[in-house]
Amino acid sequence: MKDGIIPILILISISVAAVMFNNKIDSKTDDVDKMENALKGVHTFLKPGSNISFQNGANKAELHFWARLALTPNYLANKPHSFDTLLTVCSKEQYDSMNNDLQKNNRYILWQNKDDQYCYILTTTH
Amino acid sequence: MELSNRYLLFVLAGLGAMSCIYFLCLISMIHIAIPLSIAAIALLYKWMIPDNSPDIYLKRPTSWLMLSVFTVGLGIISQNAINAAEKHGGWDAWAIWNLHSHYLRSPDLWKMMFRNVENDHPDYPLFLPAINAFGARITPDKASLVIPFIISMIVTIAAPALVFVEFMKRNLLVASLALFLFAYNTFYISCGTSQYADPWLGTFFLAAMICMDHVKENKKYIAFSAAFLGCCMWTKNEGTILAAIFLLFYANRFFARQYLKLTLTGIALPLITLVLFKTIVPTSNDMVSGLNAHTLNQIMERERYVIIYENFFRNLKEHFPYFKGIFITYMIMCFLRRKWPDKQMNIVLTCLITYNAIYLLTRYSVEWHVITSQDRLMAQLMPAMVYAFALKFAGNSTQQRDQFSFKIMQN
Repeated sequence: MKDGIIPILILISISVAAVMFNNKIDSKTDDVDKMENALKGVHTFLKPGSNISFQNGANKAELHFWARLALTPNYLANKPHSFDTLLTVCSKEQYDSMNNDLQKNNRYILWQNKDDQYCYILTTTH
Repeated sequence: MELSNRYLLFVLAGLGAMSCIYFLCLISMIHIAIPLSIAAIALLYKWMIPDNSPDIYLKRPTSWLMLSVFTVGLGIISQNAINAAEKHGGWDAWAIWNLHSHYLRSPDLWKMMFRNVENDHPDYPLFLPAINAFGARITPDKASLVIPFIISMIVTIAAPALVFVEFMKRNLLVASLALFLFAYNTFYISCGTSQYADPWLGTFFLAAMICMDHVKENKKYIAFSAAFLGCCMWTKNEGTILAAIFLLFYANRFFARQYLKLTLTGIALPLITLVLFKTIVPTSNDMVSGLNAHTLNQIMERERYVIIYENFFRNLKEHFPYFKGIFITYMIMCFLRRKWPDKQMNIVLTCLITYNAIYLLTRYSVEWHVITSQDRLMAQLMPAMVYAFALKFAGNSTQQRDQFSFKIMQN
């Protein structure tokens, strides 16, 4: 009888841990969440499976990783000139200069968003 | 084999089978992963759980003391795991493993994953991403972050539980020490809950080793040993190295005429899945593609050996503090008993040497490569290392058991 108890103990332990983990993450927002929340609106402008370029205005490597995860199943190239559609992420201070640069390059803003740290701009040339 | 371990191995094998089936269904664009998985699990259950093997230890009852020790160990592991777990896992989780899993959730567009050649490794095998994707697809969206955590908890607990159950009736003290060696190793726990594939590789490797040690009781375990080696290959590229070393050490069993069919039966599903995956991946492994004439010259560079050696001992001191002492005790015991280290220990040491030899050939900065991965490679081998230690310290019980099994078979 006692021989089969160990798998049951493990099952109970994993179930309790899952509930505790769920409670722990419910109240927490990390950088990946922030990116996912910020880019929620962009999906209406992108057909699933799109190719998008990425401009990392804030020059923080992780931004590309987080944006790439948030935009699956699209492909987000880590170069600003690979495709026509461009997602730019920059700090709030950089927003004006970045916006001017985009307009100089004849880019039209499709969508944009801001959070407490960054600005997110989706542009295209036509 | 103990009933508890048969259940644990059944869960591991079941997850391996589900991952392969999910990926094969994606590739063939036939959406029957759920019924196929149920059928595979039923088949595995029927084959794996019944066991009338003549093992002397099965005759001993599981005591309340054993269960109490295990419960305490389990509680410590779980508590440490919850503390260590991050919402989206560690860096490689959101940069590689969970990213692949997100792509694999899409039955039509999953191949977009292969376009990520910068800052990603699309050639990495897909055991973990496929099982997470499958889990995410059959559960509500709200559970999408809990599924990878549950999967990571299974692997964090599986290795200590397998080792404990394996030895609890032979030598409870050794089994308990092994359990607490895992429970108090914060590096092992944080690796386990990082949502990386490394702990899975280590656990599958341990599972293959345990099954191999039970082949004399029942020859079906040769098939499960081979299946777990296949799972190693389907989990990480370096799993192929571990599997090749293991297969070489036990070649006389795996390829013996009476076992060959079982070996092929066990390894078939993960191996076919891996081969199909490798044929459609447009990029080759960065380490393999980087090999050239200059690479061989690197072997002669003394500085590389120094970097690997120094970092190895630094990692040993920082993340695996008791292992040096335990290993020295192990070697002294071998010397006093005038015996060579067991085959299991030789396998682990060969894997460790091979892993470190790869750093000699790396096309990247050896320092960067060693710093970013050596500790995880050591963690991959930790479960098998603890098992090899426990085998020695638990006494010469394997021989007793073999003699007992032989007598039963003669009768």
